[in-house]
Amino acid sequence: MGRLLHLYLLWWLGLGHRLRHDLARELTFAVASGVLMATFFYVFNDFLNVQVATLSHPMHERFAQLASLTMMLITAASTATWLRQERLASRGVRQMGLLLGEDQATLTAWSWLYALTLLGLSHGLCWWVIARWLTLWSPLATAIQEGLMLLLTAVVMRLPGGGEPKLRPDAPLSSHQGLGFTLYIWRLKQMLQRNRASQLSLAIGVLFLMFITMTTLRGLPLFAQAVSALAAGYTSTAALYFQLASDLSSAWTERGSGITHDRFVRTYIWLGATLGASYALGALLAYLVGAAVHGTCNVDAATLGQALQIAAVTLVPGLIAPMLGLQVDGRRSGTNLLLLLIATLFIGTAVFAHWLGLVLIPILGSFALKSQAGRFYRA
Amino acid sequence: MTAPSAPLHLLQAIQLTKSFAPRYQLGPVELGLSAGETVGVIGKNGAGKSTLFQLLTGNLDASSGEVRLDGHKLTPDTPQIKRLIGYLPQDPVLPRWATGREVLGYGARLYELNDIAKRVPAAEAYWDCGSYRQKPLSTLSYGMQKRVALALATIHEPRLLILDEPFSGLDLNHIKALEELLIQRRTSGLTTVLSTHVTAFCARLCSRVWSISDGCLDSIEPWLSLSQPQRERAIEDRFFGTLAAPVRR
Repeated sequence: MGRLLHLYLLWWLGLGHRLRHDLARELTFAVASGVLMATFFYVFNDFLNVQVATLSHPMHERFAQLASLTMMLITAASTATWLRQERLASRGVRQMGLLLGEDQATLTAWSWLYALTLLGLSHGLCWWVIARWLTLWSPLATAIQEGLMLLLTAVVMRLPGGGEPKLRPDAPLSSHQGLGFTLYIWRLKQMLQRNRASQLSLAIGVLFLMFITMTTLRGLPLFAQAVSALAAGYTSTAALYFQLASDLSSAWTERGSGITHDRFVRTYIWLGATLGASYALGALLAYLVGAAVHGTCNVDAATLGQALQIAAVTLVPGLIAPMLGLQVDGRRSGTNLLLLLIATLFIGTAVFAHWLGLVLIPILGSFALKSQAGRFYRA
Repeated sequence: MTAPSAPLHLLQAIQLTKSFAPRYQLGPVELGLSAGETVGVIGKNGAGKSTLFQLLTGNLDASSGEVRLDGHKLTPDTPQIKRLIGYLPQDPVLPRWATGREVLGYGARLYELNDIAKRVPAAEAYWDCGSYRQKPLSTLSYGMQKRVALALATIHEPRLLILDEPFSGLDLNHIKALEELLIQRRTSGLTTVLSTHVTAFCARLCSRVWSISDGCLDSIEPWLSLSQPQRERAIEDRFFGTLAAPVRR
């Protein structure tokens, strides 16, 4: 029992040390995120209320339930990932105990204690947010959903590690094709063929594109399609940040060959524009197909204008992501995704409210690119 | 970027400092390296060897002073000058899901080499990476990955090669291959700087040895006139003498 508590204490102390080590950066980021979120809701409060009012009450409820389910899914998957990391990580408390010859019973008890703590914290926070801001489920429904979350957590934890991926034979070694193209095509290939997190987020982006068609087919207000478009743009752009984190961990290979910060960022700007434009085109088509079928193949100028508006909203995250990727720490995908979410909510909502919102992108770009100057070398 | 005519040294550090105030300061470092030299750097863990290497490769901003390579000031924005350097970090992390062949091909393209189809297989052959060139790097052992990293650092035959603990993780065959490469580089007039904790390697391979202690760089003298056992003794004397004090962090 004493040794179990010692392991538990070590884990809390480790968390404390990490917080102490990174406190300034983490605190600044947390405060800045809070201020930006609050500003977002303050600025767009009236606009969002008007948009939400266009939805019927049952539809409003359904959106809240969908948001709750998404949050539960994310919570279950993240918790499973953390639990899995602790079980497998060579620097985890469990592995340390194993190396030091700790007996199996204590290690099993530690694993349970750790899992219960993590589940309590993450699931507790999730249910608090749902109950406070989204929807109130009946006690029975809550219990069933908590059971499903636990089941999902267990399933994700037990997923096989993936093993060795099947790689295609190498392309013939050719001479150089220009530095910019080499950097661009290397990353594109990594994102599409190798980086699993990137592949997953690109696939989720396609799902949200399908939501655009579905919501259009059901005749829901344009706001519903805009939300799906923003989600499609955001999740597909997440692929960029997963690749950035991977790139920066092996950045010495590129720094050594004289790749400058500007060239590195320029590559990501092109990649972001490519992803954004591809998904924007997908959103345009998804909306037009939905509108054509819903309106019995009658697509007028107004519908086309709305389709372009949806495409513009989808494009936003891809355009702004490279400007934010190195602001805090490019190796932290989670931090970058939160930053991108805030910026996307601001600019995406502004673009949806009025076309002139697009002007915000170059303004943000000129400031953001300056403030992250040189960080490819300092990451 | 105007080059002074015929620089005296290939690599020069002028009043170079790096401060991680209030914990640690490296320098001021004043050094010059000529073509064909092989220099060893020794020092306790955390003494600043890797920081010095990061400064010499232009991958880290100096707090003050400058580094000149072939007469040109070295900064992160001088790609043509940086390509004169090959660098192997202490922990050479490589892209997880790429293969050795892909990483070497990619590196060769970044160096804008013209004969990629010859260079990549030649580097693979020298570092014995050919048998696993199609495997994802994440599935390879540390030593196998290190050989790919060494191949990458040397594929463009750099005029200045900086190796941070290159022998760690290599088996005897590849330690021998690395030693032969360093000797070959010296006879070809190419310059190498390396850090190692193995005194025999320093004694056998280096034409000079620097020690780092408390942020100060100091040369072990005399050196060239000593026999190999005497050199090893000199390194140990320096290490257990002046370097034995705990590093300020």
